[in-house]
Amino acid sequence: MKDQDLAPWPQAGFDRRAFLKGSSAAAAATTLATHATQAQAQAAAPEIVGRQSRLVELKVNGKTASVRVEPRSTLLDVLRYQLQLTGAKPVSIDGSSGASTVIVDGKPIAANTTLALDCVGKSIQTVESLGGEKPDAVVSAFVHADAMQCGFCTPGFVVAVRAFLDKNPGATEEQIRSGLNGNLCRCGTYANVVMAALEVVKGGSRG
Amino acid sequence: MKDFEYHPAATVDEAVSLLSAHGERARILAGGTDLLVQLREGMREADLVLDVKKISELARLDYAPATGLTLGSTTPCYQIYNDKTLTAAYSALADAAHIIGGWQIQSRASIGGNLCNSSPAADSIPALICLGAIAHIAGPDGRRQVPVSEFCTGPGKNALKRGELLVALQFPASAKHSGSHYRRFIPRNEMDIAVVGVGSWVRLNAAGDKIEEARIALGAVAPTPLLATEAAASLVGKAPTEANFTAAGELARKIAKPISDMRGPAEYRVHLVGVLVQRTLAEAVTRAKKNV
Amino acid sequence: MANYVWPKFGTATVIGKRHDRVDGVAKATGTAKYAYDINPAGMIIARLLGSPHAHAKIKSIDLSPAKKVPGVVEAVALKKADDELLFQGEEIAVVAAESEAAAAEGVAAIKVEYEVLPHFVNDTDLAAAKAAGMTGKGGKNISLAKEPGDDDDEDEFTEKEINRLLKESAVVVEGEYGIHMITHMCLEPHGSTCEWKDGKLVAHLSTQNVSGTGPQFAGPLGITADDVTVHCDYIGGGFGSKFAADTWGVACAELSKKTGRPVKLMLDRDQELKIAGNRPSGFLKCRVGADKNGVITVWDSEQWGTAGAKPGVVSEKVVPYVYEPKNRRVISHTIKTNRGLVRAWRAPNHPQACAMSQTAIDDIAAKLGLNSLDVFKRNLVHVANGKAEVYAAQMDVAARLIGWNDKWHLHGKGPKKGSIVEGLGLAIHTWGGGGHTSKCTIRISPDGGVSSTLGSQDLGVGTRTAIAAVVAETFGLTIDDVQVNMGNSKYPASGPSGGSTTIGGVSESNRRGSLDALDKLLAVVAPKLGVTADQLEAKGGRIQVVGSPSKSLGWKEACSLLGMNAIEAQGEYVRGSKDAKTGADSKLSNSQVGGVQMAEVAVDLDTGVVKMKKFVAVQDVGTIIARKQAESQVYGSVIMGIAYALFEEQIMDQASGAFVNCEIADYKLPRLGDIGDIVVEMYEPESEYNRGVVGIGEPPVIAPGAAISNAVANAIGVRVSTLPMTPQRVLEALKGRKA
Repeated sequence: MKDQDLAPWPQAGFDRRAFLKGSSAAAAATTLATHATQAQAQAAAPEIVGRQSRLVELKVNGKTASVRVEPRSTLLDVLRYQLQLTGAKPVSIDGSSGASTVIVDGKPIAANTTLALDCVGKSIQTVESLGGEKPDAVVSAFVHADAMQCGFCTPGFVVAVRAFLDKNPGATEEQIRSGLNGNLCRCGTYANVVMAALEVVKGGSRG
Repeated sequence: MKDFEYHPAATVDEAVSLLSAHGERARILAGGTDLLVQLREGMREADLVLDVKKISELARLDYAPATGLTLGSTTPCYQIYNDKTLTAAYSALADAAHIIGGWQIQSRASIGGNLCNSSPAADSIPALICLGAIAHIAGPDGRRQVPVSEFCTGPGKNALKRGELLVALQFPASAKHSGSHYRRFIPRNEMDIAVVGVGSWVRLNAAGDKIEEARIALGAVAPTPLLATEAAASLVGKAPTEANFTAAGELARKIAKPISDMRGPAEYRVHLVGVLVQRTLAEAVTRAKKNV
Repeated sequence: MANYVWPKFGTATVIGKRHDRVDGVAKATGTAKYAYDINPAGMIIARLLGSPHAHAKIKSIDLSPAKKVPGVVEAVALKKADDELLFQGEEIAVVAAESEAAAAEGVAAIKVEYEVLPHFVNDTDLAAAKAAGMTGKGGKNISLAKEPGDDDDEDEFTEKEINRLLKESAVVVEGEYGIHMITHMCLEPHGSTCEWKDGKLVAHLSTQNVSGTGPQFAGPLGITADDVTVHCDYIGGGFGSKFAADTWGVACAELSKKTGRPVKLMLDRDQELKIAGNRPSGFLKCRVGADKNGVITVWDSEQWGTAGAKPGVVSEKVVPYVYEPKNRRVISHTIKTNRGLVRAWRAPNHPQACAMSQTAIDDIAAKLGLNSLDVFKRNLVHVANGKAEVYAAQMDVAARLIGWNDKWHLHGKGPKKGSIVEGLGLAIHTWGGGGHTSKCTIRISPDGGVSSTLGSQDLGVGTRTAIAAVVAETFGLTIDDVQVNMGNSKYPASGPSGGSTTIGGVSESNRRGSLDALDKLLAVVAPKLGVTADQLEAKGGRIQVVGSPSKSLGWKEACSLLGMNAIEAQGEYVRGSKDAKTGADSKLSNSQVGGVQMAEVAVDLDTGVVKMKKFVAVQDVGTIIARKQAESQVYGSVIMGIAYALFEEQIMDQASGAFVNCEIADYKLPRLGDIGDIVVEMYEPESEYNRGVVGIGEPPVIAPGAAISNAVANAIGVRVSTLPMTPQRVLEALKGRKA
C-alpha cells in the first residue's frame, strides 16, 4: 500500500485503522458539520455535483456506456454491477491486491480506489477487451504457462502484465520479477506468471 | 462510505473558496488512492470531495538545470521516475515515487498527495526533506511557502490551514557532485509500508574525497518525518567512508523515537535507522561521484 | 464389464501430457463467473456486522437505525440479547440494501450494546494459558522399544526410560520451535448470491463442496434439499475453508426469501480474515537424543497451540513428522483463545508438525557438525510409511537440482559477502490423497458429442481439464472434444474438494463411466465392421479393429450408428472400495505420496531479511492426469509455504484482543519478487505410474516451513525458533534471544 494511515499516531501500539475497524469507536469518532457551515458553503460555492445519482457516459472497451452513478461510486462497482464486466475483482480496500486493475488512458490503475466520475471522458479498458475470438497474446501465454489456479486474481494480473509489457516490450526476467509486485495471488501462480510474461516477450509483438 | 458531493475545481481560487467554505468537511481528491480508502473505512468523512486534478497549475512540471524543479502537487508518481533527467537530478524523489504502492497506484498517486496525507511513514517525505524541497501553498490569504521539513506537524496533520491547498513543490537546482537516495526497510521486496525510511543527500568536493554538505531525513520513527541535523553535520568535511557513514547512522539513531506496532518494536526500528542511514549515504555518494 | 485400468505405461496419448487448462481463457479474460460476479436482475446487496470485541455479551441489538438508512431494504439479527461473542468478527446481524455502500452504511448504523468480557488471545505461552485456565487436555503419542514390567507404573516407566535413553545418547538437542496461526485469506471472500423463487432456492455459493451444501440451506429455510440448487462454476480460493453454507450463507438465503429479491452477501476483507478460517498454531519444546551419526535414539516433546475459541491443537500423532523413532513421548495441550475458529487448512496438521519437528532434526546435524542431508538420510530408518527408499531416491534428485554438494557448508560456517550469508535446508513430507467418492454421467451423442456431468468443483487444480483428459484418453479423442459440466448440485454427486481427493475421485468415476460407455458404443459398431466388440478399440479419433487400423470408422461415423439413442453411462467410485469380483484394490487410484524439498536462502545479517534464492520440490504423484496443472499445484504449494515460512501470521493485540493485520496491505503474503527460483520435479518411474492417481493438492505445501527454517539456520548458525521468520525474529535470534 502507499501509505500508513494518516489517522492519529497509534497510541496502543497498533495500527490505528486496523484497530478502529474492529471497534465501534469508528462510528463514534466522527462528528457532523453544523448546518450553518454547510448552508453557507453551498451559497458561496460554484456548481457542485449533488449526492443524488446521475447518468453519465463512460467509454469502456471502445464503446460508450450510459451508467447511473453517485459521487461515491467507484469505477469498479460501476463496471461490475452496471456493465456486468466482472473481470476486475474486489479483493482489497486500498488497491493493494491489484485484482481490480484496469487501464485508464493507457495507465494501469486500481478501479476500486478510483471514482467513476473521475473517469468520465477517459478511455477505460478492462480485461474483457483482451478476450474475444482471438485473445490477446498475454491471455494465450497465461493459458499456455498455466498461470492461474482459482483464477480470481488472474484478470488483474493479465491486465497488469499487458500494461507492463506495453511499456517494457523487451522486459527481462529480472524486470518482470521486480515490476509486477502490485498484484497479489494466494494460490501461488507467480512462477507461472513469470513464465507467461517471458513467453510474450519472446513471442514478440502482441497479437 | 457515506455519500458526498463531488466537484472538479477548475482554478486554484475556486478550490480555495470551496475549501474555505467547507473546512474539514471538504476533502481534496488528487490520485484518490488514500482518500477513498479513508472515506470507505470511516476514518474520514466528507461532505464535499474536491477534485483538483483539472487545475492546470497543480499539474505543472517545470524543470531547468539552472533553476531547479517545480513539481505541481497532482503530478502522479510515474511521471517522475519515467523522466531520466528528473531521476538523475532528484534521485531520492524518483526512488520514493517508484515504491509508493504498486504501479497501479503510482499511475494515480501524487507526491503532493503523499505529503498532504502526512503519514509518519510516507515514503516521499524523507526524500523531499533531504532534497531541500519547499511547499508552495495557496489559501484565502494568498500564497506562502513552507519548507517540507516543517510541513508535517503530527500524524495526519500538517501546516495547511483552513482553505489552503498545496500547489507545488519546489526543488533547488541539482548541484554538481551531489547525489541522493531514499530507501525504506520493509520485510518484502515491494508493496509494504515503511518500517523505517531514510532519505540522504550529499554534495562532495570535485575530487570526490570529501563531503561538503549533507542532509539526512528519517521516516516512520516519530510522529513526523525528522531531519537528522546532527548526523548530517557530522559528515561535513569528512571523507565519504563506511566508518563515517556508520558514525552518522549512530547519531541518527539517537533522534529516532519510534513506537512499537505490528510492523516492529521500537528497538528494532532504531537499529534499522543506523543500517539505512549508512546504506543510503553509500548510495548517495556513489551517485554524487557520477554527477559531474 | 470393462476392465478398469489405465493404458499401459508409455502408451497413453492424452493423460500425463501437457494440456492448456480448458477453462483457461475464461479465467484469464474475466468471463469466468464466480459467486461474487453473479448479479441477477433486481439484486440487493447484504453486508454483515461482526463483533468489535474479542469477548463480550450482547445486552441489546437495535436494528431500527439501520432500517432508516436510505437504500436499506432489510436487516436481520443473527444473535440476540445475552448471546456470548467469543471472538472479534463473530456474526451479529446482516443488512441488505440497494447498493454496497448503503448496506455498509446500514451495518454501521446498527446499535448494539455490549458487556465486554475479559479476553485471552495469547497462544505462545503455555504457563500463562494454564494460569488463565484456558488449557485443555490434548493427546499422547508414546512408544517405547522396551515394555514396562507388570508392576511398573506406566508413566513412571516412560519417564525413566526416556531419561535413560537421553543420557545414553551421543548428543541431545534441546529446542523450542513454533509456527503462528495463519488464515486462509481466499481472494474471493466467503459468500453467495442467493435467489429465492416459488419456494425454491438457487444458491450461487463460493464452495469446495457443490454436492454437499444443499441440506445445510434446506433445514433453516424449511424446505428439502431437493428444493435447493447449489451452483458454483468457479471458486476464488478455498484451501479447506469453504465446505459449508455458513451462517452468512443461510442468512443470505433467508434475506432473499424475506425480500423476494436476489441477495448477494460476501464477507468484507477483514471479516474474511477474522472469521472464515484459521490454521491452528503450534509450539513445541523438545529434547531429542541421537547417536554420533545423527540418528535419533529418543524423542521427547511437549506441544501446545490454539485452534481459536474451541479447543483443538495440532495432532501429536504426526509428531515427530514422517520420522517416527521407536522411542518417543509426545504430549499435547490445547489452548482456548478468543480468536476465530479453525477450519481445515491445506494438509491439516502436517505443515505445523513438519515445521516443529524436522527443524529439531536439522539441529542435530548442526550440533554434531554433520551434513544435514546425511542426517535426514540416515534417519530414514525411522520412516514408517513404507516410502523410505522413495525418499532416499528423491533426496538424490533434489540434491542434484539444488547443487547441494557444491553449496553445502556447516551451519553458520559459510562465507560472508558484505552482510549476506547463504544457507541450505531440507525437509520431507507425506500425505494420503486417495480419491473421494464420485459419480458422473458420461454421454455420447449420435452426433459424436461427448460430455461428462458431475457435481464437482474446480478449486483451482484444473478439475475440468483432468476430467476432459480422462474421457478423451478413453475415447481416443482430444481434450477439446469433451464437454465437462460441473458446479451444480443437481448433477450426479461428487465429493467435496478436500484432502487432495478430487483428481483421484473424478478420474475414477470418469474412467469407469467412459469405459462403460465405450463398451456400449463398441457393441453397436462391431456388427458394422464385422467383428466382435472385444476386437475393437478407440484410438486417434476412430473406432478400429485392434491391429488392423484399416478396418475402422471415424468417431462421428461410429456415433451416428446410435441413431436416435445417445449412450449414457454412470461412472461411480466409492472411496476405498474394492473390485466387486476380485476384491482387489482399484488400479485407477491409490494413496500415499511423499516428497523431498530443499531451500536455498540468503540472509542479511544487518536487517534480518531472508531472501529466497532457490527452492526445489521433488514430488511423487502416481499416475499424472494433467501434467501442467499437477505441476502448478506444486508451484503454488511451495509459494504458499514460502508465505507462512517468511511472511504471514495473525497478529493479535493482547490488550484489545483485536486481530490487527486483517487487511491485504497488512497481512503479509509474498509478492512476485519474493519467491526466488522454484524448480518442480515429478518423481515418476514406471512403478509410480502403475500405482494409479493420487492427489497432490496438499502434500507439497507441508515441507517448505521446515526446509526454509533449516536453510536459515544453516546460513546464520542459529535457529530462528518461530515461523514466520520475519526480519525482526531473525535479528532477535542472532542476538541469542527468542522472538
